[in-house]
Amino acid sequence: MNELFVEFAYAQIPKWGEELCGDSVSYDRTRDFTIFSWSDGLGSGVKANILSTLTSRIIVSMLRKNSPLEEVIETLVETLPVCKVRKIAYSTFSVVQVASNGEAYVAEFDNPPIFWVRNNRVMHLERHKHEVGKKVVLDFNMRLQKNDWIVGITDGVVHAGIGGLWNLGWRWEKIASFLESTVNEHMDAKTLAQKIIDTTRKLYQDHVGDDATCVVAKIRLPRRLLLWAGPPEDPAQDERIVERVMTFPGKKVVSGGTTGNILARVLKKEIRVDLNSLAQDVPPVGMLEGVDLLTEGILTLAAVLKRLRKLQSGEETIRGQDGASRLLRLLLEADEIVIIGGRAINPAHQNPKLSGELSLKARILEEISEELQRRGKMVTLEYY
Amino acid sequence: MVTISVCVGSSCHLKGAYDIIRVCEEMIERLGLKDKVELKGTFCLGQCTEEGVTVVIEGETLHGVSAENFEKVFAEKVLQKLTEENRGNN
Ligand code: FES
Repeated sequence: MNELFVEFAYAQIPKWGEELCGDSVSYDRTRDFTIFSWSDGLGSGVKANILSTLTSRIIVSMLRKNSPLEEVIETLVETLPVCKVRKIAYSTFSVVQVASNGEAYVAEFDNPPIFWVRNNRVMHLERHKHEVGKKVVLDFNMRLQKNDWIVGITDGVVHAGIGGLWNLGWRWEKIASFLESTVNEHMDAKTLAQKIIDTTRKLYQDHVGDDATCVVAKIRLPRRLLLWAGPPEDPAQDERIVERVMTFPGKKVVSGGTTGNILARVLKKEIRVDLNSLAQDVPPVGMLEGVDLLTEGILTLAAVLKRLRKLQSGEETIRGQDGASRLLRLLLEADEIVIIGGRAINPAHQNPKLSGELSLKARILEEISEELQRRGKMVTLEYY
Repeated sequence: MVTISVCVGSSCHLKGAYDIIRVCEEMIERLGLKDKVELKGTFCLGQCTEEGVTVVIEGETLHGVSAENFEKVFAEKVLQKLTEENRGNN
């Protein structure tokens, strides 16, 4: 369980006067690794954007399908058109692939070198020259650990302020010292990427001379959450699931009165309902020693799904103390989520208002997990 | 001390448990019974098929409770018990 998690974010700003950024970023995560790639299309505007999008997407999707990296880069370098006038490839790229044990592979083609920050120092990296056709790709392996950062930038950042505030632009070395004094453990990836881009804009005095992109990967331990939502079909499984929940290395949430009662019974503890969390559309939450949250089931889950759908990406601060807000907040904070659904028929639910409740609940859980996956969460849904 | 437990499970919530709790809080306040009556919530009591919301007052399970008839239930059950308690004390 000592796996690492890559928290990934980026920020960018287009060249002054352009609507589209000519840099593109692609990102994907599988169970075994995280891949991200960024590319700077030559020139700016639409053409640059299309080229860089193609480049970064091809890399990520080929890697995702487990094509060996060598092959991906060969395909790419051979496919990238060479500009007739400038005699260089249209699009630069960098790609980083991080396995869950921290082993990473990086390949760079014509982009500024990445920064590897550890303990507030930018570390030295030994790059290997790798000739593919007539092009030179630099690549290397590295072993990442908790609290390491990988920061990638495009040319537009390196040149920020050129001929204006700084004669030679911001420059790689100065950006390295900026990182050394800025990065800290409590900062998230998004904040750092945004800081770099904000500074870039300032150095350009708002007349950004070139598309600028900053990608940031923060290496940390994954935040895990288990949501138990429904009793198992076979009551003989009760204790096994309770055991699974209680020994889960992360946050523990139980959704459903009956499910909560099973937990309370096995643990020989008592549930207290917190009437302060009363809301018109969501029943109040319960408190039970050892679990982080205990909510009512179907109505709360339906409310979570409804809010999740409406949520804009980026807008991820949830206020509110009712059960659905609390559950949503915990789900959004987590990186890896295990949902345990139960197949038991609830004899209490003969109420016509709740008929079809079981299949409805399964559907809601499925849709919640889809929504969460769309937001980059690793979700596993199991039924008992 | 009289304890009132209102079921706030899925069914009872749909049948108006929220309003009952509001009415009950308001009555406790109005009658100055803060130290005499304890209001609690509970999850499903397994009585969903019954009419109305399920409420337990001093161990007695009542069905068919609603925000409309709650004042009556309160007067009959809670105030009655409090009067008994008072007599016992004197
Ligand atoms: S929800 Fe109140 S008795 Fe089942």
